[in-house]
Formats: sequence, structure tokens, C-alpha cells
Amino acid sequence: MQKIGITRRKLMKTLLALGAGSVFFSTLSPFARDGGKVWAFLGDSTPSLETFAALSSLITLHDDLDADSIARMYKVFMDEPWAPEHIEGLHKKIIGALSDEKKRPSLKDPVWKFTDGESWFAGHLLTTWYLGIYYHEERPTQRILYENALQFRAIKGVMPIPYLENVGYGAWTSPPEIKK
Amino acid sequence: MSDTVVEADVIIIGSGVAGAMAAYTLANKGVKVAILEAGPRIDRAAIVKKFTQSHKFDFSSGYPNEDWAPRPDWDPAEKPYFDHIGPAQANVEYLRNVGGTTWHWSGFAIRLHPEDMKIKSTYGVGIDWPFDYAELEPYYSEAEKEMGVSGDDKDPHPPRSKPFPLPPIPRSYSDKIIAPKLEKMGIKFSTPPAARNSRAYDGRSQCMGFGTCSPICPSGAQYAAVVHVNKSEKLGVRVLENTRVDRIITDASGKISEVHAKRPDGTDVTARGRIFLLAANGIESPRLLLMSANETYSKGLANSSGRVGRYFFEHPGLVCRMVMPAPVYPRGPEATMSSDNFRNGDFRRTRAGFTFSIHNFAHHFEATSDLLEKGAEPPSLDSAIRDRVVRMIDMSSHMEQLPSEKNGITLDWTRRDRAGQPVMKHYYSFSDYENAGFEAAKETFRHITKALDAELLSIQGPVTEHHPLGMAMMGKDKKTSVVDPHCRSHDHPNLFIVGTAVFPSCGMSRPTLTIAALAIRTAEEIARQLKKKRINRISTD
Ligand SMILES: Cc1cc2nc3c(=O)[nH]c(=O)nc-3n(C[C@H](O)[C@H](O)[C@H](O)COP(=O)(O)OP(=O)(O)OC[C@H]3O[C@@H](n4cnc5c(N)ncnc54)[C@H](O)[C@@H]3O)c2cc1C
Repeated sequence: MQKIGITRRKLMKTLLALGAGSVFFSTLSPFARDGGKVWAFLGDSTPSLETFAALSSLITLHDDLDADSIARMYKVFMDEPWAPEHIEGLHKKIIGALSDEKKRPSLKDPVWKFTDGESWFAGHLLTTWYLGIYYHEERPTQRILYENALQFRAIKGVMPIPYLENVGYGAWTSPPEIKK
Repeated sequence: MSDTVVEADVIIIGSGVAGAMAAYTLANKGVKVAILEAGPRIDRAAIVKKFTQSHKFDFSSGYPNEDWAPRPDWDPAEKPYFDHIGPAQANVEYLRNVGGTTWHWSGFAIRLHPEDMKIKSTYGVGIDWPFDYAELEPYYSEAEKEMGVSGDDKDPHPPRSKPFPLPPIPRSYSDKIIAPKLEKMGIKFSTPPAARNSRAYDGRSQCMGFGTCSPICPSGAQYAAVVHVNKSEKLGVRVLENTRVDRIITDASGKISEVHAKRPDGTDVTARGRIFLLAANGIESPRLLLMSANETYSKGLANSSGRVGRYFFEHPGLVCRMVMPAPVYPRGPEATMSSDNFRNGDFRRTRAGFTFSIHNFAHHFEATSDLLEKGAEPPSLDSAIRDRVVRMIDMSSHMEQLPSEKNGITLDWTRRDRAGQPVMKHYYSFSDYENAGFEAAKETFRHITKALDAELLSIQGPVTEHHPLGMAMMGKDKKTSVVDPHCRSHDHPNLFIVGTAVFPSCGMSRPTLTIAALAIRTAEEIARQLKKKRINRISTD
């Protein structure tokens, strides 16, 4: 089972460090104010966008998802009839099971007691964040994210983002200088 | 009555590299030229942006696909542009906009080899060109200069009278790792000549290493025919964009008298000239000839041989994807190393030859989706993607195909495309000659994978390379060809055709440099004939 280093305490600490306080995530604007950093609000009555943002961070394990990307993803996902239920359900289950001691296990771990729908939705959300393209058999395929798709974080520094980045003439003759 | 009447010495249909290079050559000789172009003008930055907004992985989705100038779209979800009716499918992509398809080509500017042009005489298969390599050579040099071709003079090449205008693009890091390993197997490599600036040239910058040569070079360091559209306009050539030619009209003598075109607002354009040059690409040119059938020419124009729309061939290839044992960091221009090892030999009597190139691009999207599909998850997902991407290698083979009578297009007048033109039925198949070539290429890729100690992910294909060849073939005999050795229609003395449609064979060389060379040669012939008033004389004969 995979253990990962995101815990309730860590999320809370960062949230406070960002000065988000109690009004955090009450509207979209705080996303912009804090420079695009998004952290989970761990209260019970989270508005859907904020819950979606928190869930996205919990699923992708990227706690600095770009605010504009979250808003775009949210808009498309909320069009799915079961999305609100799955977002709430997944969020509650993940947050509920996280503790200082216990790190988030794999999304496939039975510990979560995800329903089939929730499991599918978790994979769907993860896939879309990484690919930037939304696939759903009943809906039109569409690109939601380009440079903010998470695959590009994974390859940062080793491969330019197609169309947007270039390596400079001749740089391709040697391996990239990889910054640690 | 037509809304607009255009008159010029030469009317060119299509502003791709064939049309633009011919227009430029003619305008330089003082000939009055007008180009009718079906599609709109486009802006590089806007196209780049559109590609970042597209969910498709074709080469075209960033480009216009207008109702008045529709084009193929390589997406099975879309209504197909062609009705594929054969056992194989040629997914030919091309663009319909000012500057044509070189907006999204890969820039490889490869000459034919002398034996490719004499394949029948050399190997007993295929169809010979009506002239030999030596005749085309000076035009190759001219085309290379115009397009700015970089290449290594030390590599083995077909005979050359002039050095490459630009030094070679340096090889990539992955090439440097791969080459020595494969050279031990006896495979030799060279740097593929490319119309890509290895230094600033002709007002365009040096290559910046975006790595998206196809579908678009964001910096413009790679040649695109819009360069010669712009140059032609500066010399006074009139370019009418959004002007789709629907019909070529003949007079009683068999000469072309005018062409009829439509604009998006429904208005008509009539263009009259002394000479007409059809440069609408390897598929739309023969289609327009077939569409222009009339009472006198019931099989279509220029078609007394019955060969318009037939004898289609392509460059079908295979794509081999593998994961190397250690990072090779693929990046840089599309490919900086290729091999001609399997190009020539007596085997070409019975099976197709092939070349192959190693790509400097890792399919990060495919790598990511593959890993996700296999259940990879954060936090190890990021390192898994990175690890896969830095070790990924893609090779593709470029194979020859023999023209086959049954391969080609016919028109279905009962169905219309978005512009109201008849839908094309496209029959495509492979013969034993090509099938044996695929097997040989597969076998080679398997050996290569082993020699590199790599993990073979897939060998996909055959995929065609968007080189629609042969459907208005050149030859001396009017019974077996559509145009003469000067690319002039055997049937209509003032109609010339340029582009891949006229090629009798194409070896394994990508065709665009040859298109440009032929366009220059044809334009020179047209200028000569105009000067001698030979065209007019023919018209009154
Ligand atoms: C992805 C891709 C990669 C490629 N890479 C390479 C490569 O590396 N090397 C190489 O040699 N080749 C390559 N090619 C092929 C190359 O792009 C073509 O050979 C070349 O562009 C053909 O030039 P053309 O002028 O004959 O036709 P086009 O460039 O297609 O131009 C024809 C023009 O005619 C216009 N037109 C069509 N119908 C009409 C009409 N009825 N009325 C008026 N105008 C009309 C079109 O709108 C278009 O602008 C590639 C092609 C693709 C798709």
C-alpha cells in the first residue's frame, strides 16, 4: 500500500500560513488573492467549488493547483449529474479518514469504502487533471487545461511544453540541466 | 454574370508550395499572375494558440476547416471527408488556407534518388519518370536555396551540383546515444536535409527548438510556402483568398478559357488567363479535373488516358515506440538522424524499400494516459511519467509504394461535402510488394529494439504520410499519362499541373522538395512558352 505525505495537520498548517482564516474559500476571489494556491478548507459546510478544490488537491497530491484551472475543471465537472454527490462523498471520506498518524493510502485501498461511482469519479478527476483533456463517454471530449495539466509538472525541465516552450538552438544535443 | 472577373497571364489554382513557388518564379520573370486560393489567410500565433486549445492529436485541428473550404479531419468522430472504400485506409491530411499544407509539414526536404526516378528500368517495377535525375538536379538546387535547406554535405546524397545552403541541424542527444549502438549492427545514419534554419536565413530566425515542427513551427524558422506567397505578392501577384475554384471551363478548341470560383458570401469569381496552372494538391487537383467534366470531356478534363484520379500511391510507414534502458531525453527538431540503409538494393524488384528516422519527441500524453490506465497514482505518478518520457523513443519508417491502377478517387455526385462538392470515394490497398516491405521494416525494428536493450511498446501501422501521389501522372505517352514531361496536360495545351499528382514514382523521399523543384521548372517552361506566344499559337491551331 502506498503511503503519502499529506495529512490533515499539514493541510491545516498551510491553510493558516496562507492567512486564509475563516473566510477562506467563501468566494472565488481568495484564489486570486493568494496567488493561486489552493488548500482544503476542512470545515463541514464547504461550498462546492472549495470542496472541489480541496478534493482535487487530495486526489492529485498537488497542493498548489492553479485557481483558474480549478475553476475551469469545476465548471465542466459540475455539469455531470452525479458530480456534486461524488465530490461531496469523496471529500468527506478522504478528509474523515485522514489523521496525523494515518497517511492517505492509495485511492484503490478498500479503507476508503468508496462506492463504485466514487472510485470511478476519483480516477476520472485524476486523469483529467493529468491529461488536461476531459473524456466522458456521454459528453463531448474537450480540452480544459493545457500548460497547467499536471503531466507537464512531471516533465518540467526535461522536455519543453509543446508550442509554448523552446530549449534554444542546439540545446537538444546534450541532456537537459536538471535542477534538483 | 460574375461578381468579380480576374484576368492575368497565368491563373494559378492553390497557394501551397507548388502554386506559390510557381507564382514567384513567374512574377520574377515579369509574368502577370493571379492565385485563387480556397481557404483563408492565417496567423501563426493564432494557430499555435488553437493547438493548445484542441483536444485532438492530429496535425490539423489548429487550422481552419471552413464550410467553403473543407478539408480532411483525422478524427473518427468527425464525418469523414473521404469515403474510404478499400481494404486499407489512407488518412491523408492537408490544409486549405493561404500557403497550403506546408504550414504543418515536418520540413524534411529530401531529393529523389536517380534510381527512384528510373525504378522500372532499374528494378523492373513501377513507372519511370519521363526524364532523369540530371534534368531535375539544377531545380533541386534552386528549390533548396529558396526554401533554405540545411544538410550535411559530407553525408551520402544523390549527386549535387551545389552545397546545401545551410549547415546541418546538429544531432540530438538521443541520436548520439543510439547511433553508435546501431552502427555496430551495420546501420549507417545521416542528417536528414530539412527546410529548417540552422542559422538565420531569408529573414527568418534560427530554429529555437520548440520541437513542434509538425503541426506548426511557432518561430517560423521552418520554411512554409506562405514565405513565397508573401514574396510573390510583393512582386505584384494578386492572391485571392477564400476563392474556391469549382470548375475549369474549356472552349471549343480544347483550351481552358476560364475557371469559375465561389466566395464564402456566395458571390462568383471568374478568372481568365492565357495559361492555367492547377496546384490544388495531390488530391484536390485531380478532383477538380474530374469535377469539371463537360459534354466534350465527359470523363473529366485532361483525362483522355482515363488516369485522372487513378494510380494513387503514398508513403505508408510504421511507427515503432520503445522505452530505452536509460534516459535519452528526446527533444529538439522532429528528427535529426535517419538511415538510408534499407533504401536500395536488388530486393526492390520484389519488395518495397524503406528509410527510417528517429524522432526527438516523447509522447508525454500517451505515456501519462498509459500509466494512469495501468493504475499509477500520485505521488509516484509524477516520477513514473518523467521516467517514461526521458526514456521514450519513437522511430518511423518511410516506405515506397508502387502506383496501382485500382487505388484512387472517384466522385459520388449523390453526396456533397459542406462546400457542395461531390464526396470522394477513396479506394486504397497494398500489394504484396508493400506487404513484404512492412514485414522487413517490422523485423528491422525488432532487431533495433533488441540491440538497444529497449522495451518494445508498439509497432503501429501502416500509417500513410500525407503524400497523395500519382493521380495525374506525368509521361510522354498521352495514352498512359495525364501531363507531359513539362507538366502540361496532353489534352489541354494551356493547362499545367504541379504537385504530387504528377509524380510517376517517389521512392522513399518525402515529396515537397521535388514539388518545389518541378514547380520552378514548370514555371520556367510556362514563361518560355508565353514569351514565344506558343500557347496562343496552339489555341488558334
Ligand atoms: C503532417 C504532415 C507532415 C508532412 N511532412 C512533410 C515533410 O517533412 N517533407 C515533405 O516533403 N512533405 C511533407 N508533407 C507533405 C507536404 O506538406 C505536401 O507535400 C505539400 O504541402 C504539398 O504542397 P502542394 O502545394 O502541392 O499542396 P498544398 O500545400 O496542399 O496546397 C494546395 C492549396 O490549394 C488550395 N486548394 C485546394 N483546392 C482548391 C480549389 N478548389 N480552389 C482553390 N484553391 C484550392 C488549398 O487550399 C491549398 O492551399 C507533410 C504533410 C503533412 C500533412
